[in-house]
Amino acid sequence: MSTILIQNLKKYYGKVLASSIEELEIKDGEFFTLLGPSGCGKTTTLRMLAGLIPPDEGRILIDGKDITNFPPEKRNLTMVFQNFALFPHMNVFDNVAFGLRMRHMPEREIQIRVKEMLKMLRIEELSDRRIEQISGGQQQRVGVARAIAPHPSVVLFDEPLSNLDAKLREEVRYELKELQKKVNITAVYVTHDQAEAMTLSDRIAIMQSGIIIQIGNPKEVYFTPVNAFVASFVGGTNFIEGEIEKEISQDRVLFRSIDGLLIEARKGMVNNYDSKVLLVRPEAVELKKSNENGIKGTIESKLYLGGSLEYRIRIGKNSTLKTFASSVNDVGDVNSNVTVFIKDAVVIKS
Amino acid sequence: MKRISISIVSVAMVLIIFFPVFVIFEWAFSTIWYGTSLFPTQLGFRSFIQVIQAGLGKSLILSFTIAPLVVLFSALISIPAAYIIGTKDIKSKKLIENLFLIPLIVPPIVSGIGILSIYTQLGLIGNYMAIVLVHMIGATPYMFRSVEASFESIDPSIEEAARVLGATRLRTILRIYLPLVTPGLLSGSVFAFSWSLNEFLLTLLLGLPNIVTLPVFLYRYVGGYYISPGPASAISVFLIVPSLFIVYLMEKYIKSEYVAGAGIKG
Repeated sequence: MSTILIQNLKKYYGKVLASSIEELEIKDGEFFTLLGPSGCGKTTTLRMLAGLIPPDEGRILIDGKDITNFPPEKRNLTMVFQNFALFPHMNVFDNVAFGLRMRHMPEREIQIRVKEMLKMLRIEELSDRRIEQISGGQQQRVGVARAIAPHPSVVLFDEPLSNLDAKLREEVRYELKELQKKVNITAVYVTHDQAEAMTLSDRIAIMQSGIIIQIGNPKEVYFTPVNAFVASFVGGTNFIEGEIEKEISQDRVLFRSIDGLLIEARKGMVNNYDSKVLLVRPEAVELKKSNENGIKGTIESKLYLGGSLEYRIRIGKNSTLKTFASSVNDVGDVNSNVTVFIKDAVVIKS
Repeated sequence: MKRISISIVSVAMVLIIFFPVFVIFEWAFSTIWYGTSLFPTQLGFRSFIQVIQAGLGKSLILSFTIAPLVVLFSALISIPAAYIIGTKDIKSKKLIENLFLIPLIVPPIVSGIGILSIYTQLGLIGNYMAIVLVHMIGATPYMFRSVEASFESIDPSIEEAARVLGATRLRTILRIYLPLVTPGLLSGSVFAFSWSLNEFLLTLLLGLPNIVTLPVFLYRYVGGYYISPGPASAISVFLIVPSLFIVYLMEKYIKSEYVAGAGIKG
């Protein structure tokens, strides 16, 4: 449980800037996620925090102490790895106990602490098993237990769920969420999976080409992304091109699409000089069969996804909207007319 | 067809390997035999008594103390080198690996004559430790390759995990890497041990008169214009039996994939 402060941290691979963070503070007990596509520098940043690769410039401070040049073992932080990285010659118990033994904890306390950890992650019956005898999901639970057992100041997670299949991933994600509530750890979590980032994080930093382009809590990032890249990275999108017609209030505007439709929207974080686009999340679009007072549209395509239907609605010559509806709420077939209500929209940088 | 060819190869291998060994045992345990019949005319320990009286004990002690030292020192050199080359991204890795094989490519007679003049100047001819060093020329490449293959097969994030959990580099090597490369170390040790046990030419050139290992001792009975197969075979028994014993132990305790230097699974 500690505060991390990163100042002007830079890493180059050859001439390519792999990661550059001007200033970032991760608060005590915060679950902080670095989210971005592969090659965006998130793992490089995490490995610099761990001390596994040296930064080219800048400082890292934990609780005010400059640890930039400390070797990994002196930083009192631990890590959960993408490929688990468990010690194959030790059983589950000894894997979890490793960090404690390195800290010279008395063997009696180790026994207690390891049991407590295994119980917390619901793997106490695996204590004597060899690593190769347990499943991937169990292995990663051991990896998490091993990282948390020494009560480090920070736990780093390097895409811990991406080597698990979809069902297990969800299961372990839930486990992590539960764990996060139980033990108040400062965590830095790296992932390219927006669902993981959304469910687990207090705050998310979205990275692209080595730099952080937005930091915020999951809601802020989802509903008020700074630009189209962030918007499409964290969820489904509809983009409508056009211009701000006029400001209604301090944070609300009237947006005129290139087809001439007027849509009321939140102003978001755009400046006057930015090229703008209107973001409408699919779930913010409501369709009605009846001929009400709203935007007129035509169903261009309809897909059955089982529990839900995916519609593509044409609302103008240059704009369509994608949206989902429960499959018991069918509003019509292709080419039928519907009325479209946009519940929420925000102007963002294109 | 496939089966038949496999059977033929197997039978041929057995004959090629075991027939000479069988004959060696026949000679060693015969008192009277002219080699014209399939079995000795009279069995007995005459050859053994003869070589024991000629100084077999001293050669046995020399051979079986030099070989473990060769194993020990080549392991001590190989482990740190194999750790760096096997686990770190270093430039010209292939070149270094190939350099480690040069001792096996240069004929022993060539390096032997070179070393002979150096040892003569330094007064190291017939020196025990100097012979250990000379045996390491051939033994170390085997040890290195085997240990390096083990290091290479270990997932690098395992080292990172150990470091992040609080282990220093030294403790990571002792607690994590050493247990994991033990199979490679053992198979390297077997190669190094048998290399040292069988080394003849360099020991003959540089070891006399003090260092008479088993192969050099054996040469007394087969050298020049004469051959005495009885005593020579009796000495050979002391070279064959440990080798067979080691192979047996390897088969019993180490999986064959480790012996090939393939290293650790998963």
